[in-house]
Amino acid sequence: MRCIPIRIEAIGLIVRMGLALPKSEGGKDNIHWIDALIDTGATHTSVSVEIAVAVSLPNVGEDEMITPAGRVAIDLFHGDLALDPDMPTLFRDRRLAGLIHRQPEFDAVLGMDMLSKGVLTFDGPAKTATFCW
Amino acid sequence: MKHDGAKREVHDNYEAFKQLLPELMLRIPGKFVVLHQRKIERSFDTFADAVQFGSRTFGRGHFSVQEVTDRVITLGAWSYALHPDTH
Repeated sequence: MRCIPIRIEAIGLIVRMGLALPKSEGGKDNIHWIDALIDTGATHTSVSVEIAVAVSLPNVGEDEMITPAGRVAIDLFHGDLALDPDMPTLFRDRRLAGLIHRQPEFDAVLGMDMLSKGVLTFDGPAKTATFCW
Repeated sequence: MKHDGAKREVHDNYEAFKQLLPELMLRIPGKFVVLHQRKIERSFDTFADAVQFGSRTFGRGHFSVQEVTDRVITLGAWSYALHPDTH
């Protein structure tokens, strides 16, 4: 089992997440590392559109997401993901929702599609958190 | 919203997909369909298989993949930062 540490910050739990052009699209596993907010309320993993375009991820679909103010159209991208900078084995051919607004604290949201692959542990007294899969 | 090139293909396919979704929900719920020029070409069990087929067959920017589902995406805390006019 592989485990990665998670940073506990004011905005929430933050993890390093790697993005790469899919190998199936000719990508060479050049991983672009960004900060991702761990959010169990998110059904999908998502990344800012600005980052997706910078990594040249293909736009392969559209969908709608629910916001408190109504439904918003979003782009869907195709990318390879990594979670462990020390041993960056990639999760191939992942579907990523595109986020319009870039946040100062993070560039992506790690949602339940990825979190459901492992075990998320939060140790309050020790002020540590890990994700293992 | 204006579209061009690959974005136009994806958007037009999505509009066609929405029209077909009720029927697809009866026939192939949970599948991933590959669309090209507003038509469904094939369906697959996984997103990975669908995008690989689409890329190999039509090339980047000339196809899209949609999941046959009535579930709507929610993005947790980030959703609260958005407004419907932002796209």
